[in-house]
Amino acid sequence: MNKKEFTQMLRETLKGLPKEELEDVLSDYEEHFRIGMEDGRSEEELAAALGNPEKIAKQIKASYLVRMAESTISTGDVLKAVLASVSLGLFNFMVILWPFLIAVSILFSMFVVAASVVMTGIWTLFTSILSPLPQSLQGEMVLIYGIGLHPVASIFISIGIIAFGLLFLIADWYLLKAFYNLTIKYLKMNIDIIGIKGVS
Amino acid sequence: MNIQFKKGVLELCVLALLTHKNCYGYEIVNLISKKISISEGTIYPLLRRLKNDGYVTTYLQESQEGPPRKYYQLTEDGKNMNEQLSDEWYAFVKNVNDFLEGVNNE
Repeated sequence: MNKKEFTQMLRETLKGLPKEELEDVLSDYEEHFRIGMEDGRSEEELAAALGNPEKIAKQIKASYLVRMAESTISTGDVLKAVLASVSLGLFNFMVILWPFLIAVSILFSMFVVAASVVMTGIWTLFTSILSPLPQSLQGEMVLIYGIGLHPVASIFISIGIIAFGLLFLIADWYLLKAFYNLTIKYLKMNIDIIGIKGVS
Repeated sequence: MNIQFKKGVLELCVLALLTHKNCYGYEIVNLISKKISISEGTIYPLLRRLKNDGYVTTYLQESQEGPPRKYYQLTEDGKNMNEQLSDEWYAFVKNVNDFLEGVNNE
């Protein structure tokens, strides 16, 4: 492989990075070739010593995506970073992706459950307020509500249910944030893998 | 070898080298690969990360041979990180040595 082939492969695999970032990465390797050749080494020799450009590019791309995911809170970004790390071959696909997706779905369903608890609370509150009204005004609502408690008691119970649901929502939000930070930390820890072949 | 371990060792080598003088990329790669067998291309991603984490800064300097070269310079954070990693490294090596001597003298 010569310099041109090396940088072309690098450029190809780095596609998707912002132009400025990409040119900066390439200029480092171009400088490396330039100085190496002044040093009397051939293009082929330098390229071989640098290693596989595709692997290097994937590593740069993955750490770029993790950095992006770190600076913005977005599930899409973190998923992108997880996928880029998987493509690096750092982790077995099953080992990282499945636990990640399972954890995300558990957190998501907790969110749905918490939201429905809040909705139920709002619904009971609404019907308890209406229950002292004459039958004709309540319509079918009283049938759904019909637990036969005193309206004041059921208003308090409804407020309790709403508060419980909100607490659940807040807890889930914190769990989600902690999970997000943990994922990024884990990716960062593993991404800067260095190909040490042995100490001479 | 453990991934974290490899990463830490190479990071320490780069930081330690830069405490003595500012270097350009090729120089860093060259000096380290003389002693430690690595894929040379992986030093550059490491340098990018050190820069993003604020441990080094870069500047361009003219060279006699041709176009300007990108030099890497340690920041205060980088100096602190170097001290911390060196301490950890020496403590680690000492413990391993003690352990090996203990096992082999049994």
